[in-house]
Amino acid sequence: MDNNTIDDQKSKLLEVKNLKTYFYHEEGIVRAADDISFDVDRGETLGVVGESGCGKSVTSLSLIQLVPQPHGEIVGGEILYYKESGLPPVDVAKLGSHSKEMRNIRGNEIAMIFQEPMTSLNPVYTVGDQIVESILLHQNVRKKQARAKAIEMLNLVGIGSPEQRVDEYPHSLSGGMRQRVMIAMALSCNPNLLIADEPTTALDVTIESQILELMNDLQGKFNMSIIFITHDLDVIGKMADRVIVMYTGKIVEKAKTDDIFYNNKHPYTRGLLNSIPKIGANKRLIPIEGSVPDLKHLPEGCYFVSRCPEAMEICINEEPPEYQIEDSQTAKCWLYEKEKEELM
Amino acid sequence: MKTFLLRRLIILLPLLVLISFTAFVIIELPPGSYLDTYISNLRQQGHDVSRAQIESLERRYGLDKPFHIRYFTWFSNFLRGDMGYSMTQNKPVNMVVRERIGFSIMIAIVTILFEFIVAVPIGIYSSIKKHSFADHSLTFLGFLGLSIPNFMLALILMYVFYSFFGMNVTGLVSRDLLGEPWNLTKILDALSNIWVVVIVVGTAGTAGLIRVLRGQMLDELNKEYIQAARSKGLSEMMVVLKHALKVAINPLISTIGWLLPRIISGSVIASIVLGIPALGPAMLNSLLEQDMYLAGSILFIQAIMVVIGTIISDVLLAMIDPRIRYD
Repeated sequence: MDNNTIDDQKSKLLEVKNLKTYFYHEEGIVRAADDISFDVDRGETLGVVGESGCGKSVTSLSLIQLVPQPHGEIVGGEILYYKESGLPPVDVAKLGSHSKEMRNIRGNEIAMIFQEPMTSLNPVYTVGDQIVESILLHQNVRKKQARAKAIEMLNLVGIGSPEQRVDEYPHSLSGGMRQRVMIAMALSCNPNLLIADEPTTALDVTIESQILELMNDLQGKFNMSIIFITHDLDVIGKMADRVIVMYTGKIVEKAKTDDIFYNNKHPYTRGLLNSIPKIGANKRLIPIEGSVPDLKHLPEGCYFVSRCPEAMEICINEEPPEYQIEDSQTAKCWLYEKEKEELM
Repeated sequence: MKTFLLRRLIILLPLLVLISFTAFVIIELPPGSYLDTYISNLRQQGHDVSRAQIESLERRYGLDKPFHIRYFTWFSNFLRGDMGYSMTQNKPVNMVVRERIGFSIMIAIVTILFEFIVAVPIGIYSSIKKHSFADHSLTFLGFLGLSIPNFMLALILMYVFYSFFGMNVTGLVSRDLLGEPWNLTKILDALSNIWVVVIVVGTAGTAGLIRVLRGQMLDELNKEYIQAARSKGLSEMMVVLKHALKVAINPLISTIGWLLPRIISGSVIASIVLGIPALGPAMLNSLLEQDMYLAGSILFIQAIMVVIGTIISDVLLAMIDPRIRYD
């Protein structure tokens, strides 16, 4: 491998800085994504984990300006998208949701697949029509070529006899097949980034592992980055190069996947890992005590303080900053202030 | 689809026989007949009606025969295109229907078009702007439209147009064209006057359709495939019209079946108030006066319309929604 390709692989595709996406309800403001910063490199898979309601989906929807209306809004921060390395980036956060530039990015350069394959295809159009629609929207080809491309994509995602399947309606396909169709549709324009929002949560485990394998396989073929959102740490272990852990709209820990499992820093990450069962382990599962605080009335200090086994005085009153622990690892926890002092 | 249509048409025949029989029975249910009223009227006016006269009248209208024979004669004549004789109007039912059915069909078609043309855009708009001021205003107007009775609306319109603009909005065809046979001028003339009837008859239906479509659209717009369609980069217009509407329109299409006859019976009072010689007023009269052949024929024509309407909406549904298959 020469220097050039290493550079290329390490080059940034997406740089999110201090993203704030809020929901304005009558009862109060929900800060679904609150000061979120992370990068996605070309060709890597970034895992996003957290409990339901922690802001994973909203963060990902913000990246393509599809925050649920009318209450949601990106109120601050930058989402820098580097279409080609070396060229200046586009700030997606500044683009209008309905603007032409945004629509040219959506589906074409950043594609998305969803949690519910049973409902994420329109029931009244054939799967072919829905893939062709995407292709015609972004590529300058004729209908016939688009159809050929759709068949090719169906073949690529492992759907048997694609020439027939292309004319079938979603209701005649199983959940796993539909998720394959969704993947085919998302990849039909050869995107730089695929956002996968819990793509296997609704599938049973055998189908899940097939889909994950397919995604890993296609990632290499298409040379794309993936943001993989899930609450399932096992899946993260199989898919992600790096992981961000989210809690109540904040990133609490960022690290390489191995570090998340074996060298994690934030008490919340630890709590998550302790609450997954392991086959053969004769250990009691330790759930995280308490429950997620009401997002409309968050406490003053660290949002995790009421559930944290290592809570200290300072945690109650002051929000912890993000500490850089190693090159690739950060944790948003007061514990590392102490460490810093001890080192000094 | 062909087999489905064929099967439906085959089932149609026994169904229509059954309907015609039921219609006839219902009309025969009230005691007495047209003749009883007629004779007592004559007697009250001081005429002497002899036994022989009564018998000749009974024979003339076929009232001397037992029920099943009368039904059979009426139905078999109906199939041959002869609907019998109207006793109140003193002319063949065919003639009464021919004079009036043009108005009825015209009102029905224009009203259905009106309802859809007005309701679909408003329903879509209300759903994408849900809970906005415009949506609430339209909802308010919709409930108003639903709750004002037809005839009341007709009276209000007549009053408003007469007192403020000096316009007489009754009738459908200009007076000088009334006796003329139907031709292009007469149709155009009728169409230019039809809007009052259409508003009167169609307002409630439009309001209903708006509610249904708004609700359906809101359901669909919350589904994941809509978000998926957006994530492809489609414009919001395409997302709403191509993706959400095509699924949401479904229940509206299935209303076409009962829209046709509802408009005929719904326009009865409006037609009377506005003085329009459509089938509705004739039906009401014939029922009041026990003019059995006229009443039976109009009821039967309505039933045929329901059946045709249902087939039309079934076919349209199958064309629009691939999940619906009939074979």
